[in-house]
Amino acid sequence: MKKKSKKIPKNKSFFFKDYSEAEINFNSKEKKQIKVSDNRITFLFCVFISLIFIFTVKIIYLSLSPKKVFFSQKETQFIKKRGDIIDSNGAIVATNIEIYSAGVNPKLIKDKDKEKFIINLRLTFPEIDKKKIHRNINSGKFFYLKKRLTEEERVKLWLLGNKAIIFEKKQFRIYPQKNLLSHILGQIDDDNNGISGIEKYFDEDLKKRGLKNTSLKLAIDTNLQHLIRKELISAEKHFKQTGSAAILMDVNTGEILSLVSLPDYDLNKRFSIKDEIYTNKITKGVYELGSVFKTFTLAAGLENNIIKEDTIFKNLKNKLNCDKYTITEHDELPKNLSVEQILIRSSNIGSIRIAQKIGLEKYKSFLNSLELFNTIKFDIEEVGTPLPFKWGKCKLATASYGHGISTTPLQLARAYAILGNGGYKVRPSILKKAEKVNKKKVQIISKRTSDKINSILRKVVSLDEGTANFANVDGYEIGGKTGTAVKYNSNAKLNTFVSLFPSSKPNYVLLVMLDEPKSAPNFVYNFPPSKKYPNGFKYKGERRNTSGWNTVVVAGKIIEKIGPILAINNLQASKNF
Amino acid sequence: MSTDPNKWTNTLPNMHKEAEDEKFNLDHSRWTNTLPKIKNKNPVKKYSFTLIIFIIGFISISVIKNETRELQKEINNLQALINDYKFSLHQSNLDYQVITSPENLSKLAKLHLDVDFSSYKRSQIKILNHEKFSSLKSIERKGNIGKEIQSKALKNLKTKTAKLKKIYSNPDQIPEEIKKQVIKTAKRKKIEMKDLYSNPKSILDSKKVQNWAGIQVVKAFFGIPIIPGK
Repeated sequence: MKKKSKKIPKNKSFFFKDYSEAEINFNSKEKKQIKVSDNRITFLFCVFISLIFIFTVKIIYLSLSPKKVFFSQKETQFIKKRGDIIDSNGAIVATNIEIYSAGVNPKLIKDKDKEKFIINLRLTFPEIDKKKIHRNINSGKFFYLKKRLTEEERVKLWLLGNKAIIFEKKQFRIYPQKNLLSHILGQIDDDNNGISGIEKYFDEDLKKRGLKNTSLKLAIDTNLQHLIRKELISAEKHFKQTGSAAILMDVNTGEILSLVSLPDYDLNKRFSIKDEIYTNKITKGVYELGSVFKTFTLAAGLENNIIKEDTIFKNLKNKLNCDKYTITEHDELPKNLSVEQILIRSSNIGSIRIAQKIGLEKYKSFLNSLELFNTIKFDIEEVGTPLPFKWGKCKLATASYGHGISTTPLQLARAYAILGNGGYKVRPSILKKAEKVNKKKVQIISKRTSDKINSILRKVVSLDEGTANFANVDGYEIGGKTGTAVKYNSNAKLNTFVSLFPSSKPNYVLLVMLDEPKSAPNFVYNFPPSKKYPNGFKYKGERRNTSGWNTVVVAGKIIEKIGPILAINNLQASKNF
Repeated sequence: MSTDPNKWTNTLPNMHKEAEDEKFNLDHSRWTNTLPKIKNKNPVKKYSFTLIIFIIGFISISVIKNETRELQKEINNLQALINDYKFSLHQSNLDYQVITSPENLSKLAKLHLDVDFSSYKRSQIKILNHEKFSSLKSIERKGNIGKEIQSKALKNLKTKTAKLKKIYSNPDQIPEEIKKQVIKTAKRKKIEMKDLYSNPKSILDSKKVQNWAGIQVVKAFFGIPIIPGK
């Protein structure tokens, strides 16, 4: 523009001449204004030119660049609503996945097509209740056709091509181990909130872990759990028990390596469990456990220095009356028995005599120190409370051999763990504890008593006169005590066997319980080698169904199976392995 | 004291009087060309620089922005892929967990193996003492080598006996056989003698000479006579 104005004088045109003449006459203010407007025009010109240039470059670039399909980040990101639960080996036992559910919006189905729609649905899913679908469609409200669709089912429904079928993507909790840990893990509701077991107890923690994508580690070993469960199931063939349970615990840390309660249920097939047989027998079940309590009677006597293992009780009767009840021995036993022999032969009368010698107060305080009658603090809410009772002379007598008092198998296992580990208090835990626990150990029972009890329990298994010979598995130094209790108002039995191994320095406590086992005359009992029978022997036709004839056999088989795993994982499991 | 205003009037020097007079006689044309010339303002020049900077700026902004967008997209793509992989890893891990669950393995073992689970007792494992095991192995190896040598010797013996059997099966031909062998050896010896006399150098090859020379040097070093007896 300026150039043009400059050239004006050279131009002979009258117009430009006039303009130039007029310009000459501009005063300084006007000249300044003209200058500013000239600058603005130039600036805008530059801007437009550069914009055109940029767009041209961009268009050329885009036309030359290859096509790309871009994903949005949000679409594929999968954030779990709950964290995974893993076992001690890192195997997943509970995790969240996204599964489709199919719902129906009846408003999107024309009246004339309703029948056709139902027929098509029935052809795809014959198990669907026709009447129910009909009723739901007529109600006009949205309803779920099927939750947790498999990929095949989803495709089938999708191929129906009906817009009334609506697919919803939802997170579901699945349990790859199915029944294996049902009593431990518990269940969750449709909104991913825990309603029982670990899922409930650590609900908040699991939700936080889901966001962080971390897992909750259990002390449970699924391999051990499977082997124990399998043995308990196979025992049903011979002993026909209505239910069974087992717990394997580390006596030093209290970590529970296995907790089985049968019958169990598949966690993936969610249904409400109301039947009593599905109770967690280890934590929730409160039972009168029988002769396994005799160990505590003996330990109380030894701890209070009232008896020694070789103290002999003379003239032990075969019968004893207490109030209107008659207490008898389970078998014919020698009249004079040492303290050791009382436990090895499981003498009821002998135990009563020991308890009487200890006295009510000392005996009571000893049992209380083992926390057998409190409600235990545990990692799941399904915990039983032992039944309250009044102490008296007769109660002391019956309690000494485990009758008339009740507790949970979990508390019993813990009490045996305390007896086995040198007398230190332990807190049972389903979670894997940190390796370095700085907590100071609280000693309840002296090391001396613990050692003595361990050696006597070993004799219960190893000696011919002991009641638990079938659990004498070579190489594992098993010690333990049997317990046979008769159920109230019934002849049915509840048999228990608590074992500690290896006896010289126990690492594990295993409790096996069979509910209402029957005698197994067709079962071939394999007697292990002993002093009397160095090569062992086989025996068939036993009619008795006390603990020694069933629970001990099962426990022996379990230890035989899990022993190598424990020995590999923990070299100290077997002393000479 | 009164001051006289004319006292100093003519005391100043008159050296530059003429020049000063000239100074005051103004020449109007004298300063005409002394004013600085107004610069010729060229707006194209003035704005071209800004224009170039603007254009470069805009282009670079566009290019950088474009590049960052592309990078962001690529990051998003990679993130999506990572998520995809994570998801499939989760799925496959889950599959693995289901497949390798103890229950499933037990079922598979029942289907495909003869024994579901065989447990070894300690008494059985005790045999596997390392030292005993290794010594057993070495004995086995030695036994194997001895057997090989024995079998070879047996083979040789067998071939020899077979030959001898052949010869002795026809006793009339035995002297003829011996004659043949003697003739063969005589012929071989004759050929060797002929070679020796016709070309004695052939016996002395460089290696033999080197060995002989080496031995003589060693002998001389130890003071042993080179020619025996002298």
